Amino acid sequence: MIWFALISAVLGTAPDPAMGIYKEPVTVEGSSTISPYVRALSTLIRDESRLNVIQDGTSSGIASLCSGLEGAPQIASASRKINPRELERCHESGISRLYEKFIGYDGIVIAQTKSAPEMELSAKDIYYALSHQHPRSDTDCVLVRNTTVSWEEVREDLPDREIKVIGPPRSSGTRDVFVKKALESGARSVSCLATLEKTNPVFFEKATQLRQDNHWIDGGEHDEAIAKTLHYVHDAVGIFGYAYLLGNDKIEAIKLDGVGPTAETILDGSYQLSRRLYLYTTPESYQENDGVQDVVRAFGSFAAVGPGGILTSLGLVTDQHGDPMIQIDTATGEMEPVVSHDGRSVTKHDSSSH
Amino acid sequence: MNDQDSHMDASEKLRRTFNRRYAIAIALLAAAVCASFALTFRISMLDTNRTIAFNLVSHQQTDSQRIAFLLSSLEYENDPTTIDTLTEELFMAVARMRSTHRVLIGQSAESERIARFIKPLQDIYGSGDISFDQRVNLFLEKASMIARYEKGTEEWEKSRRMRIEVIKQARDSILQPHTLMALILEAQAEKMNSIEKNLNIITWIATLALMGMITVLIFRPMIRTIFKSLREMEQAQITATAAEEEATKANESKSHFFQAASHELKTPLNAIVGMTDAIRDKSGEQLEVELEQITAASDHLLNLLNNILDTHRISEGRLSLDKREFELLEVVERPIKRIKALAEAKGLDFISRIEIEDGLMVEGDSQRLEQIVTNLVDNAVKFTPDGEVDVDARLIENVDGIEANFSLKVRDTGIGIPTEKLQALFDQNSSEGSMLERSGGLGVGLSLVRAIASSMGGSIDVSSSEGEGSTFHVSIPLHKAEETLRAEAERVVDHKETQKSSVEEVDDSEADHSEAAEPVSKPVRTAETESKLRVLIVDDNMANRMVADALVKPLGALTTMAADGRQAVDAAQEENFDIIFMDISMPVMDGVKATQLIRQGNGPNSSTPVIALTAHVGPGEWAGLGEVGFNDILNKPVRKEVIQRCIEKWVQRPVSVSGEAA
Repeated sequence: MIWFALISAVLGTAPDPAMGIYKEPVTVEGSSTISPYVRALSTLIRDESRLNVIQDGTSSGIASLCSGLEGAPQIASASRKINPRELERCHESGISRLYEKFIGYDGIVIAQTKSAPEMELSAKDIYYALSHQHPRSDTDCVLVRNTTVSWEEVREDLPDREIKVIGPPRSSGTRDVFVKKALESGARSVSCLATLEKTNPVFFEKATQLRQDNHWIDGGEHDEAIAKTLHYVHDAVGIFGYAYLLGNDKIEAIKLDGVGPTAETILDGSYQLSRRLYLYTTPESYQENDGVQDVVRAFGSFAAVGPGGILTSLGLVTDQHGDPMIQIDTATGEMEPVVSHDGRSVTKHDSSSH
Repeated sequence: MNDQDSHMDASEKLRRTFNRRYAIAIALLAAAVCASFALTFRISMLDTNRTIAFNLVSHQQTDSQRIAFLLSSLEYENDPTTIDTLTEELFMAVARMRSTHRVLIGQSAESERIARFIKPLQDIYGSGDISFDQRVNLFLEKASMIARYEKGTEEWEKSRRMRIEVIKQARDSILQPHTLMALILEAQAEKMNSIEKNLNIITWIATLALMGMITVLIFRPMIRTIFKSLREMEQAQITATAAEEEATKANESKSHFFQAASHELKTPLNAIVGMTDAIRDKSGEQLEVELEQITAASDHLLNLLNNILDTHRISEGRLSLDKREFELLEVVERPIKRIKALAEAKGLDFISRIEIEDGLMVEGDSQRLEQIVTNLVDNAVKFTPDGEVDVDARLIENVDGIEANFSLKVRDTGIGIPTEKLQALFDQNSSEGSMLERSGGLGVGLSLVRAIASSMGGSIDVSSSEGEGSTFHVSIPLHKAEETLRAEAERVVDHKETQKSSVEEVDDSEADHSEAAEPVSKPVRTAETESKLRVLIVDDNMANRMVADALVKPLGALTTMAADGRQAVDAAQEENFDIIFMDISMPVMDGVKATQLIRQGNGPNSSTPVIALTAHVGPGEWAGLGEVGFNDILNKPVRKEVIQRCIEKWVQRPVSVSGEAA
């Protein structure tokens, strides 16, 4: 009861026994990175029995949200920002505006089992190891199919070990961020590609696609499963959210360009593979469904992201400065802060008692 | 018999050891083979089970995709029959997947068999806030729910979102974790493969090591034992063959010996018989030459017999030397003189130089020394058809004057000896010489000479060249009998003093007796010596008695004969004799017993010198006789001068002097 009272105090709302709590269920669908956070926060919302969490990847979550169908989720969790194509689909489904809530940072870790010999990679290594095609040389940008099979072929001082990378599937935001931040960054260190990125973006995109042979393995929307697979498959390298590195003492992160993932390096951006996590919802859902508000607010609560908070301890990195909720016009992509009824922008501060 | 038993024991022990070692080796090898088989079997079982697990995971992947395909197909299919078929298939796929899922999460009876392989998969099944296991169940639930909806109905239309979700899950979130499981199984198979490879190598090395161990610890000792046994068998065979050859040779040489002996022994016998006839014919005439020849033939015969006896003794390893005083010159001179006559009769130039002091007494075995001289000189004459034989005998005194070396050089211009045979010349076991040859009958008898010389502490060497002749040189250390010489010298000067000093050396009883007897016997003996010497001759053979009688008669002796020991004792009771010659082997009572009886009590002859006169004992066997009371021993056939010297020695000197010999 004390805990319940505390939560109520934190949220600034009181349970309304007469209402049967929420009128509608709350479904959060999308990023496998965010799903555990949502579940962890279920104790902070008033009726956790009405909370559904579907973990099927950022793209799936946004797609469902934008489908406009009956039974579509109220909230899409995304480990990247919504892209113009997705906004377009939303618009087509009759959703004219979306609310975007930045909830914190996450690092994407490249990890291996501790029993494997230590390895350190650069973005360029990752590019040459995992791109579907790559230039013949730094100066000759004719693309050839990637046929490297061992890390030693990528760079001589890397171990003679098969390239076997288990990563998130196509639907995953983690994967999108990984491609963007690791592969594309690596591609930019190839001089001719750096030039082409500006002059021929289509070519650049083609040059930065992930390889599709059996050296890249889609591990599903289950970061924990990927992390645990590394316990048994010693020559494999796994790609998943920072949260799953914490508390797993059998695996270790591989440094990228000399920087390993920590809360500090993720927050200050010195670790390249950091990303922003978002929740998307429609203004209608937010305003009509108490549960949606509860979930969005819970993410900004002190109990969640304060020092030793529920999400902090799970690996979510926040700067603890409240960011305002953004409203996106799905037709134009224009963004503006959401203003509450009293004329203030909606931040965690104005939605919490702190 | 015991030997045979112990051999059989050893063989039995060997057989048992072999059986045991063989059984151990076979058991070890069998164990190794069984272990290897068990390992292979176990590994293959593991491989089979791993394959089963792998297949199950693959089925899940396939069925998951199959469900996605069937649901997608249902979306666009309008033909009711096809829809029915698709729905049917969907049910089956879901049922299959559900049953496989139960096996993979360890909830089926089939799970037990593949338990070790699906164990790591539980990490994947358990991962996530909603575990993958639950997600699979949820997915299957939804899929079967959709399968139950009839297409076109309201609930079908309402489930559209669910259908999309299920298709997506079937393609991604259900399929992909199964891919991870396949990856885990693959990694474990790789790991197991490398372990298997190492195990195989270890098994291979262990088997090799075991085989090596079995070879080194079991088979090699067995083989060594077999080889040893074979060697022993070969050795035994060689020994047996050699023994057989030896036996054959011994047989041959024996028959050869008898052939040769009959011839050789007949030669001197013939001379004796012939000469005796000649003497009978020429009775009263001058008999010098004939007698000389008879003597020579007798000596020759005697030497032959001595050689044969000694060769036999040497071959049996029981040649023992006598150690008594004798006059060296006489022993050396006698054979040389005798053979000189033979040599001259043969027409050879025989030169002899003997530089030995007359009357010099030495200690040793006179008969053997004479044998050496006889054999060497005789040989030289025998093997020299013409030319000369040169004999040089001398005594080289050492600085101390007591020890001396007798040196004899015999050089001839005979046939010589081939160099290659020189080495085998002295070899007693040489197959060159038959027994008789070694005895000196037909051949050299040199091995006997060497054997005697070396047992006397001396040496012999030879230089020879074929066709030119040979030179033999014998050197033998001798001990001069100085005390006797001194005593003799002193006896001449002072007879009385000698007696006194001699008495001091005898034991008390004899000394008492001497002193008691002296006043009585001395005058009697002196008186009798002037008239007659009384001698008792005891021998069962009449001829021998006659010979002895004939030999002592010329010394003016008065002889009494006895045909056995009993008669001798009786005679000794009745009369006091100056000396008694006693045969040893006789019927009724032998010489030893008779002498003991004569020595007993205070009979008239209790201290009379008793001389053993026998062909039975050889030199070196004197000691036993001395102990029973004999004073000296003479070997048959006895020579005139020998018996004379013996009488001179024992009758003219007090009895007690013989204490040294006893």
